[in-house]
Amino acid sequence: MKILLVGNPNVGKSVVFSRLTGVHVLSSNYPGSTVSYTNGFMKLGAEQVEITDVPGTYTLDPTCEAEKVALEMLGQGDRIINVVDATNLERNLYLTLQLLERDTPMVVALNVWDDARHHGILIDLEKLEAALRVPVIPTVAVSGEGMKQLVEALPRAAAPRHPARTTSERWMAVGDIVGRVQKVSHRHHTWKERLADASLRPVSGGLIAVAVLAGIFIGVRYASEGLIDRVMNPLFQGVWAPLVLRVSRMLGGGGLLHDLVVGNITGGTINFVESFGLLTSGLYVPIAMVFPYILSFYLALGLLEDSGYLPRLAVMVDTLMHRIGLHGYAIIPTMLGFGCNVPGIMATRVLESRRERFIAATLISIAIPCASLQAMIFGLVGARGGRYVLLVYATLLLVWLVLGFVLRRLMRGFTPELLIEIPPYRLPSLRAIAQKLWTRVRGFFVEAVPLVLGAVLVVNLLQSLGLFDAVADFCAPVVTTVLGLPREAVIALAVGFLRKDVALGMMAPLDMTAGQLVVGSVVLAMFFPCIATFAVLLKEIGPRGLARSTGVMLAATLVTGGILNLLFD
Amino acid sequence: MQEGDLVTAAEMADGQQGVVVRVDGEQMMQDRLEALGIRPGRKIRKVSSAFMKGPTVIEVEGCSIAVGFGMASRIFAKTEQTAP
Repeated sequence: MKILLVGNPNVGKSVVFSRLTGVHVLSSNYPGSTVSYTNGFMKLGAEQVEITDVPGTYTLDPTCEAEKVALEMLGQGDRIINVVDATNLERNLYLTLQLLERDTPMVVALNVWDDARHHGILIDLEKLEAALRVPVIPTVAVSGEGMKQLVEALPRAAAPRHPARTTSERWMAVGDIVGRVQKVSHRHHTWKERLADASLRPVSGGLIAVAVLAGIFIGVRYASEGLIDRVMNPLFQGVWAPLVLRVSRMLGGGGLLHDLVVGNITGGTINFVESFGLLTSGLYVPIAMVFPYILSFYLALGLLEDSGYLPRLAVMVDTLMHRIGLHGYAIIPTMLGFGCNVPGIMATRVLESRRERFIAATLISIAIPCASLQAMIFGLVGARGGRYVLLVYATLLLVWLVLGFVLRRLMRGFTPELLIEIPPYRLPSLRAIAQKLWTRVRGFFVEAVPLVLGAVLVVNLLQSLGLFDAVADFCAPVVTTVLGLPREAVIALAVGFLRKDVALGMMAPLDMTAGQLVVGSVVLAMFFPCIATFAVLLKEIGPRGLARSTGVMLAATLVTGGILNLLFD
Repeated sequence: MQEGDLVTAAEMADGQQGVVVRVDGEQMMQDRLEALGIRPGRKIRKVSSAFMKGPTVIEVEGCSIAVGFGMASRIFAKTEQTAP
């Protein structure tokens, strides 16, 4: 049996899903955090049933990619759990009535039940059940309340086959039901609502937006550097280094195997960035340099996502985003891209048109450095002075703006207007934040760390075989003249296809000037996305889109790198 | 209380309340607004608008919706005003 979780955006479907299946999916407090479906399993009596978390939709007449996915899924379910936001019964019931006109048996989970009571909204469950003719179960998914009752109600799921209605008839019916089952007592505006208003007004909202973004940037940097200086470096230098030196002696202090495992050690001390062995750079780069940034960035992002601030940020930046062919909501995929480009590009599915999705995905893959690369930029470029780091960021911001402006002009079509629901502010639950952070951190260790080790191994093997020289000779003219980088940097740029953090690490031993490091960082950020981003681009914008995007990328990288190089000359 | 003039959501003052009278524009846009609860007969409150024809935020049934300036200019509401 296959059960579908269907409902409006941001009503808590993903939380219900996690509760029922024990599979933790990322959920946030903004509409559209689930852009593709997730499957999980649950025991129902003796039977193992499949549950699908369907992206949120307001109606069954789809207006964007995520809603199309939702509609396509509907035909495949044997049962539907319609998750309804009890604080917003009227709008949610429209979809409920649409679903009831179909013939899949359904139960209704009346979620956020606790908030509805706090807001003075009283819903008569018996009357609502009578009107809909399906079981209605009050739930509070975040605390697990009502989940047992919801599962028990599944066998009673009914398909009353309401008569097909027109849009206006349906709204009439909704109004009629709400009038009979819901009583709203008067309530005062809370402090959260006052803050909600302030963060949307032009002046106060602008100041709040700048403060939030600057706070994240500075907070993430200091937290990460603190973790690196106080925990990671002492651990690697004090505990790990002596062990590695022992391994080095065991392997005879030299030879191919020694260089693969331990890397290049001179004078009995280990330079963890430059030695480039599996046990040295292979572990130090991902764990000591990158992981602290992953941890603190995703903690900040999780708090931001669950508070409900992101849609407000979308409103504040909407006017600016229209200048680059997008609307404000594209800021959410962009923010996700700062962690890793892959989920960022996938999140562009919340945008309405193909044109917008192409622009947003291309801009993310070119101008948004992921957390791993940013960590290395702070570590290596930052060592030459903070102003060089700022220069890298300023250049990428400028590229983002200029490129977006150009793409908007080049591509036919227009940018649809912003139309989004703004969720109420919620105090993020510690449990949810910790769970989400754990999911993302585990993802980094499972997917990224092995790839870093693989990249280090492959680079060493190819280097010892002398294969890189041919590639380097071939590309060297462009890299040395236009970009002003040393010939060996070609290899680092090629490695950027696997992992950008490893690639920037490879530039460390090249005796580059601060200016060259800035050019190298910018080129790495812009030039060819890493293999994972490449794959997701292909999936999301298709082969033709990817070809065009790559063309834009090559041109933009050479122009930007060339100009920077001239400025430093 | 006296019924005021017909104004668009874009023109309403922050905090002003009104009842939606009609929504102009393509059917597709009307449907999307309707799905979010903005349709004739509904009481709305303007929350804010941005500089330079940025989005307007309106509250309908306790739920805030951000709409682009163009759409906000096509939502006509009868506002509530106190008699002079």
